[in-house]
Parts: sequence; structure tokens; C-alpha cells
Amino acid sequence: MNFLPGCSLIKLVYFSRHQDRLTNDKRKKTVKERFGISNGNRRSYPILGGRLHFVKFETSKINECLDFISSKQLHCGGMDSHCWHSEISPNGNALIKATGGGAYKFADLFKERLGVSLDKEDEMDCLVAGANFLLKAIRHEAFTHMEGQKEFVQIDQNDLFPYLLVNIGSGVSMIKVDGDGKFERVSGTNVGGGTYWGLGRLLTKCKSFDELLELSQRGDNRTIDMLVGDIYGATTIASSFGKAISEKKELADYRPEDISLSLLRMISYNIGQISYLNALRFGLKRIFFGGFFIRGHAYTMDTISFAVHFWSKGEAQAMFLRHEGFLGALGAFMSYEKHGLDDLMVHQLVERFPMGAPYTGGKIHGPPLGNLNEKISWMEKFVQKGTEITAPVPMAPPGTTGLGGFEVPSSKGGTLRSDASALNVGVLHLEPTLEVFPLLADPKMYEPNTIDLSDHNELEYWFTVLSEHLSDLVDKAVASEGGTDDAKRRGDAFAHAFSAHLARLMEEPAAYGKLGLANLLELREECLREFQFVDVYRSIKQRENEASLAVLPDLLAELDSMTEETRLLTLIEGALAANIFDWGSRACVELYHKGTIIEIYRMSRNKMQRPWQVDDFDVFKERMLGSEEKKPHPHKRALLFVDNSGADVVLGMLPLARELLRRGTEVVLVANSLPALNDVTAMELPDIVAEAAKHCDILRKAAEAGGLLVDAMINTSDGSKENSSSVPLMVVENGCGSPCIDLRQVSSELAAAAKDADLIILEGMGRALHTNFNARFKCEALKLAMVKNQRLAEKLIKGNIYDCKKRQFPHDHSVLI
Amino acid sequence: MDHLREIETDGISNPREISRLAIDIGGSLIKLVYFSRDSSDHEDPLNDCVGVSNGVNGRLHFAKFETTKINDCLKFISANKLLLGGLQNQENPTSDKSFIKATGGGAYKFSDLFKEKLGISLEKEDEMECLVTGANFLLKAVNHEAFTYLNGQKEFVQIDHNDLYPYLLVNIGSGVSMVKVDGDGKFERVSGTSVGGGTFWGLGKLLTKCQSFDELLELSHRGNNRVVDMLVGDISGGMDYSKIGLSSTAIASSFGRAISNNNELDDYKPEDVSRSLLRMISNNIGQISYLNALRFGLKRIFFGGFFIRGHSYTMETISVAVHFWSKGEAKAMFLRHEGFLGALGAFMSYDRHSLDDSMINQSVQIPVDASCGTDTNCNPLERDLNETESMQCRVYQA
Repeated sequence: MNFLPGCSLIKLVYFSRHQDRLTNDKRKKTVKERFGISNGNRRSYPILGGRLHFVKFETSKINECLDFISSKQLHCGGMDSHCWHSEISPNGNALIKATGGGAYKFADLFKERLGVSLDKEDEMDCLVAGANFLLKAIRHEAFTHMEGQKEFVQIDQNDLFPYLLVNIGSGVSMIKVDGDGKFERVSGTNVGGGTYWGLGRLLTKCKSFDELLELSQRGDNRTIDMLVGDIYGATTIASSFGKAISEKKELADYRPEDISLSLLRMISYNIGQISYLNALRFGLKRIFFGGFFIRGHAYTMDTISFAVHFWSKGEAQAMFLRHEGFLGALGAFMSYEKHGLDDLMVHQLVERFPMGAPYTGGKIHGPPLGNLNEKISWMEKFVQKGTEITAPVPMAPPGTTGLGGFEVPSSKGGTLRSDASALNVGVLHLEPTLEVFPLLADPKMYEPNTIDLSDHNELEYWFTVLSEHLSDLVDKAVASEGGTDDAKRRGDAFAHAFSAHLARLMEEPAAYGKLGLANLLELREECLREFQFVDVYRSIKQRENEASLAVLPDLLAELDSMTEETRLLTLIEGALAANIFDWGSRACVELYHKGTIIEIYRMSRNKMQRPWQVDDFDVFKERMLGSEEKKPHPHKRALLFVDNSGADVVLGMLPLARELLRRGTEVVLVANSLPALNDVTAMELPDIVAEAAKHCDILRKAAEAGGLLVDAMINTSDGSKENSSSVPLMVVENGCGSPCIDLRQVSSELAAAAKDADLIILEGMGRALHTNFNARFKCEALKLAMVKNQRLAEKLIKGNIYDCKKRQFPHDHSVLI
Repeated sequence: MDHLREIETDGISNPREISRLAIDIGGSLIKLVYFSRDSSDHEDPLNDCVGVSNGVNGRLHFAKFETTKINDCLKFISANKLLLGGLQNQENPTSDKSFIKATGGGAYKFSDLFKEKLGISLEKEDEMECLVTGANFLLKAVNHEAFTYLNGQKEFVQIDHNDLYPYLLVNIGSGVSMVKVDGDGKFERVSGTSVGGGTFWGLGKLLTKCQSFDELLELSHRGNNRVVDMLVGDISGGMDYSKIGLSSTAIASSFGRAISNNNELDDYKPEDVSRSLLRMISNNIGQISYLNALRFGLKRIFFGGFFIRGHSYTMETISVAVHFWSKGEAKAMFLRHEGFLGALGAFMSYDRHSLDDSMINQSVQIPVDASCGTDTNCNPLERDLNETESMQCRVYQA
């Protein structure tokens, strides 16, 4: 809690544990045994993963805050579903870590109302601990802000210290940070947020800090500042408020807007200047600014940045933090001994932006909406009010009801958000099982996204694509839930929520941090899940799997009749051809309706005339088949990252897997943990493999060896022991629920499976093109994809749609059509 | 301005020959420096000084006006016939075009007005150069020019001429310039801030309805900033701020207390507001100045400019800020003639330019024994150092 009346906020950071997922499914058990993942083997986590929530309340509404804590039972540590940053002290009293001046002021109130004691932590300790945590644990936490442009900065954890932390509260503290818990307050100034608000209040009669800040947005400081131009003909400010002396105007003659802006500029600039001088003094190259004064306010950040840039002649950079308001609260949270977040790694945190995000922006808001019904009705009220949810997004921070609900932005529906550039702060999902994919050649340099949406043209293009696809998606989503009224309601709410996200992003591309296409696509899936559309394509996937499995035996027979060389080419062609069947791509939806699956498959395969756009097939062939004089050794283990359900996986990837198995290579099929579009999931794969195995010995033995057929083959297991000396076919989940994959955050079972792998096959646009197109691996890698999007084709390989692609680095084969 | 009138009559009643006027037109104040030859001195007049070896005795006068009252200034100039002492007579007697040296931002702005009202041109001199020249002159030529001010005690500092440079010159006008001075004519503007005298007066005017800068300054004497400022003790809530070097009476946030109650502007005493404002600005200037001195390894910081006006509380605050941030290692120093640095520099520039133009090489020096010879013979320490005054001096030709 950080106390400053009228402008101050109470900030809560609390942790909620994930509901245990179905951890007992047999596939996982098998995988765990096989790859030696056991709970004892890995470090035991005090928490099993969960979410770190960031919530703000206005200090004047402390009662709402108390209600909120009480309703969530946050003060009772050790609750089942919530693990608040509290612990039980020896005398049985609950304890909450608190910091900020208000921790003293409100201690009695907390005691009385909630029966909890506030355990006060040193404010400076907390600030530093919070900043260190954010800078180390969250990607794209820091950004620069110059001339209205945000740019996220990736900071090397090993090169973080020393830095200057400037916390702008009522006054300003400047802290030199040398490491965890190693810091010194080196300077400060008494001209800070309190000065802005105090003087501003006296001069403008504003009732709140935010009101004053908002006023500044419409101000023109030239009416009141003496500019150098007033003297020399330029526009630098010579003297803040200097013009007020030479005119016969009184206070009432000046616009409050102008006064507010002049004041804001004076104070921001002054802070920037003093900060720079201190950074210079200690040789610090990075200055991070935080504290309530900033509040994501563009003008404030620009002014501070300008001052630092100007005085340092461009050598020092002012940086800001997305979670700047939460430094203290986060630090207090970190002061629990058993929070389990000490050695947290970047790859274990996934930030998600719940549905309310685009509406509330970086503004003060109450608790996140809890249940689905609240979410839907909140969304519906928005729509009923006729609130424009395309950019710019409505402002008026929803009031808090204290019991987990937003109030509708009331009559102020028409007002614009005071600051379009306010950043959103999401919920941090802690997934302790996530790891960095061990086969990445250079994890530090790795950037999953091929397409950077900070390019406005790209953003606009994808915005259009996703918008056009939206109604179709909603139809499917509603149908997947039985088309009930409830499903329709949820579908509408989803559509509005997702549109709002898109609108928000169009307005402020950096609203959610640095955004790549993969993040945007994942946002859509997350949004669907938020409205409890568990698996939109469930029935479609099922139908396609069945259709494909029905023709698989014919295909396998055809393949077996070919020579080795033809077969390899046909398999690659087949995998590419099957990749056409992709519901994620609109062009394919129509294609699918025109014929049966095998016909289209064969037709497409025949069209796969080499050379492809990127074509490293010959290299791959030589690696697989060897040359005349040299027989190659087979790969030990191949990781096949599969894409879509239906023809793609059944007619494309399974035959390829079978070929590898036949050559003595272990095969691990890597599939999504959660549904995304029509992508096949790790949960679905065992059944598909089991079905395919009915008609194929190679697959059956391998699947058996891989433990995929435990149930199905229980009767034959005794008799087939000798035969099951086959190399195994296994399935692992990749840890994500997106059509793309960020290899910095994969499941621990995939990471374990990767240990012995010497071949990676990435298939499909999402995983081989939109992401990872430029990824380099420690072992051989084959990228297979059909370029089904004209724009992407032009952008990446300057080819036409449906062209093949394949390419090769020393270790890296790619086949991309 | 009472003092000006006094001088005015003085100037007229005495049969002095006035020569040379330089003017510094700042955002809020106009400063004049002019020379009058002692009538009793029968050596060669200044006008005719070429070839004279012993120089001319006379007085340097200092006067100031608020910029808003520029007309008073024009009247003063014309009433005192200050123009007659301009360069026209000695350099180009036949030309009816006269000019005076001028500096400060207003030299541009009011150029036309001078032309129209007085028929003279303002010859603009670089502001910074004038400041430095003025400061160098004062520090070298005038005894007891510099002094420190701590705990209400003024202490004059004798500065060794050979150990003067480098120093930081902080000129607090409407805005603040910080100039690193390495020698005569060798200087660099290294920093500055827009929070200066103009801010004090501008904000003060809006907040207190004071009618003049002096009135505002006067008010601050009687004020108590604790009413308006948030002190460290107010927010520490038992936290030990001493470990980070703050006493509980240090200001945590200027005007920070104005946010925590429902008082409106009218509920505050203008005295308190004025004092808080003064402390905020003085402290800020002191801090930024120290940081810049530190950066360039300068041990002396001289504060000048009209914001200070010999105002003890202002000097005290600046001194405390420098003392605090430097942990006692740096000292803020002030100049008795602080307000006139620019005007003095402009005045000196007559010589520099005549050197270029006509090879007249003359300089103004004040004999050491004649320094501080003000109109009255009172102890300079007791005198209000910033009021209009004159000093006895002698102009030599080198």
C-alpha cells in the first residue's frame, strides 16, 4: 500500500494457485516414466503454479479494498485456491506484508475489520526487490518512451546491475541498485508528485490527481511558461511560469489546463535532469523511472525522457516499467520467505490479458471479474450502453464494487480514456513446469515471432484478417457448445471482448507489451477460453480425423509400393499437401468443401512440383538415404511438431513418422497442450495413433513400445513382447495453447524428450513460418510448411501462394511450400 | 523604487559627467551600469583618454527597474542624460547614430522601443559572455565581493586571483544558467534549469496576488513552509529516514501537504505559500548546481542573478542544499553585485570592442584600496548589498 490521499492507490499483489489439472492421465504418466521426470527428480515447488494478480484501489476507497480481500479470503493464507502473500504468525494471527506510508495509517483498520496484522516492510527494500523481480522475470517489462513512441527493451539479466531507480511518489527517491538487496539511496528531490498535485490543486481546484493529469492533456504551456522564443525566437522553456510575471493576469485568467501542463512539464523535466546528473555521477547507464506520478502518462514519460536525452546528449536512456505502480507491493510480496518466486525464471511466467483489459487499460481498477457470468454481463452492459468499443476505447475507470465486479462505466460512456497510451498490466501466470527448449542454438538471441506487429501495416493487415474471420469463428464456437442460448450469449461476449482487444491494439500497439503475431493469435485462443469455449473445433476435428483415418491404409499401401527414394519425396510432398487442410486458413475452408479428403490430398500432392520456394530436399534426402558409397546412420530420435487435425496429421505426419520409425529412429510427436483452432492436441493424439495402428504393424509396435497403447493392447501385451523391440513412438505436449509456439516456454516433458533428439521437424505455418522461421537449433531441423497466405509468401520468400518451401542451414533443412 | 529616485537626484545634483551606459534587460528586471567621472578629478576626461596614462577617477553606478516598467527606465536614462556618455562622442562624434551596449533577452525585444523613444540602438552583447566578464571582473577587482551565507552568518571570502579558476557560475534570472568558467573569456554553459526566479515570481503571483517580486520575497520572511510542505516526518510513519540521510524536518514533498486536506488556496496564508515556493526553488537550484559542480570537479560555486537579491533566506536555502548534497564539501558563494553581472559585462565590452575598432586599449580597474567605496561610508557588511549603489573607481588606459 502506498499512501497519498487523493492521488494515492492501494496496490495489491496476490497469488492464486492454479486448479490442479488432470495430472493423472495415463499418457503423462508414461511420458514421465520414460523421460525420467519425477517429482522427486525435479526441484519441488512450494507452489504448483498459479497466477500473480495486480489490483489497484484508490486509497479513499479503502473499504472496497477490505471487502475485496475479505471476499477472496486473501487474508487467510493457506486457502485451497488462493495463496495470498500472507502467513500465520505464531500467535495464530494472520499477517499481511505491507509497505508504504499507509501501512502505518491503516494498520488498525485492517486489524479491526479483517483481524489481520500488517507486517510492515521497509519501503525502499520493497521497491528495489519489486523492480529487480520485474526486470529479471518479465520479458519486455522495460521500455523507452520518446516522442510518443514506446520501444520495449530486452535487458540481459546478467547485465542488469548497476542501475538507477527513480521512484516518483510524493517526493522523489533516487536509488542506486547494485544487486539483489544491494542498494543505496543516493539522491532525491522534494519536487515530485506531491508538488504537482499540491500546487496543481491550489492553482486549479481539481478534485483528484487524475483529473489534474487529464487536464494537462488539453493544455498549452506556452501561455504561461516563458519560452526562449519569447526572448530569442525559439521554443525551449526559459522559465517555468515565467510568463505569469509580465502579464497583468490573475490566476482566474489562466486556463487550468495550461497551468496543469506547465506544472507537469516543469516537474517531469526537473526530475529527469536531476536523475541524469546522478546517473552520470555514478556511471550508471540505465535509469528506470517508477512511482505513482507517472501512471503510464505519455506526456510525463516523454518529458522525463527528453530531459535525460537532452542533458546526456543521447547517451543515457530513461526507461519505464509496465508494472511501475506495483514495485512496492510486489517487493512486499517477495519478502515472504516462502513465496517460491525467488529463483523464478523468465520462461516460467506467461502474461495474459483478461477480457477487461482493453476497457480498463492501465487505469485503476478493482478486482478482475471472477466468474463467467460476471464477465458476460459486464460485456453486455457495455454493448447496451452503446459504448463505442472500437478505438478509442472508453475510459472512466470502472468503479469497484468490492465484490469482484466492475461497474459499468456509467454515464461517462462517451468520454475518451484520458490517456490512450496507458499500458495494460496482465495477470502473470506462473507455470513452474515451463522450460526453455534445450535444443535452441542461442536462446538469448531467439525471437519466436517472424512478424513484428509494431509495424503498423502488419498490424492493420492482421487486424483485418482476424476481424473478417471473427464471425465465422463465433458461429463455430457457438455450434461447438450445442448452439444454446447460453452459448450464443457467450459467443457475443467473446466477439466483443476480442474486438475490443483488437481495437485497443490498433490504437496502441504497445498496450500489452511487445506484440508479435504469435501473441495476437494466442490472445484469441485465450479469449475463447475465457468465455469457456473449450474446444471450438472439436466436432470438426473429429470428423476430419475419421475421414482421414479411413483412407490411411490405402495411402500406406501406396507408399509401401514405392522405391525408397520416391517414397521419401512423396512423403514430404504428402506432408506439405496435407498441410493445406487447415481451418485456420480461410482459403482452405472453401477448398475442403469441393471434394473428398483423399482426392484433394492426392491432387495437391501431384501439384507439388519441385523446386519449391525454399527447397533443401536434396540435402535432406542425402542425409536420409546417403550417397552411393556411404550409408547414413539413422537419427536417434526425432521430434515432430505437428499442426492440424485430420489430413494434416493423419495423412501427412503419421506416414512420415512411420518412415522414421522404420529406419530405427525414435519418434516423439509434439502437440499442443490446449486446443487452438483445429490443431491436434496431445490429448487427442493417442487415440488417433491407436486407430492408425490397427492397420499398420510398424505404428502398432512403435506405439506399444512408446506406451501409447497401454489400454488397447493390454491383452496382447504378453504375446508380443519379442516383437515390441521396435523403437518407440511417443507423444508429448508442448506446453502451449496457441497455433504458434514460443520455444522459450515449452513443457518440461518436451524439454526432457528433447535431450536425446537429433532431428526436429517443425510443420505448419504457425510453428515453422509465423514463428521459428528464423530459429536455429543445435541439431538438424526440417521446417515444412505450405505458405497459404499471399502476404506472408511475398514477405518471406517472394513467392506465390501455395508454393513450396524448403531450406537448409548446415544443420537446418527446411521445406516450405 | 525609492533608491533609484535618490540616485536620480544625486546624479543630477552633482556636477558629474556621466559617460558610458550599459544595460541588461532580463525577463523580469532591467539592470543599468553607468560610469560618472568625478567632477573634482581634473585629469583628462574619459572622452579624451587616448594617450592618458593615469586614468580617470569616477564612479560606477548600478540601477535596476522591473522589466514591466520599462518606461520608467527610459525616462531615467533620458532624464540623466546617460546617453551623452555613450560612445558616440568619442568614437564617431559626427554621426548622429548612437548606441549603447545591451545584453539580456530583452535587448532583442525592446530594441525598437529604445530606437523610437530615445533614438538609440542597442548593441547586443552575448549574455553569457557578459555574465562571465562581469563575474570575473568583480571577483578579481573588488575586495569582499564573494561571501558565504550559512546559519544566518555572512562571511566574506578572499579569493586568490591566481586560484580563481575554474569555478561554476550560476546565474539565476528568470531561468537559471550554469556556466563553467575557466578563465577570462573561457567558459561554457554546462547546464541550467527553467525553474528559476521567473518561476518563483510567476507562480508566486498566481498563488498570492502579490504585486511585486519584492513584496513576494518580503512575504516569505514571515512564512512557515511546514504548513504547505510535506516533511519527511509526516510520511515516515516510524520509518527510520535518518539511515538514508534525511532528518524528519527535511521536506519530502514541496506543497505535498496541500493535497492531504481540503483547504483551498484562500485558506493558506500567502506568507506560507511564498516561503514554501522559495524553498522549493532555492533548494532545487542548489542541488542541480552542486551536481554540476561535482561533475566537472569544481570546488567553488558562485550564485548570482536577481533571484537572490541578497535575500538571506534564499541564500540560506541554496547554501543548505549545496551543503547537504555535497555532505559539506562544497560551498555556495554569493556576490555582492550579483544582479549586475550581465550589465557590468556589457559595460566592459565597450573596451573590448573599441580595442577591435580603434585600437584604444583601455581598461577599467578599481584600485584595491578604493574597493567597496560606496556612496556612504558605512560598513559594507551591514549594508543591503543589492540596492542601487555606486562604487568609486578609476579608469585607466593600459
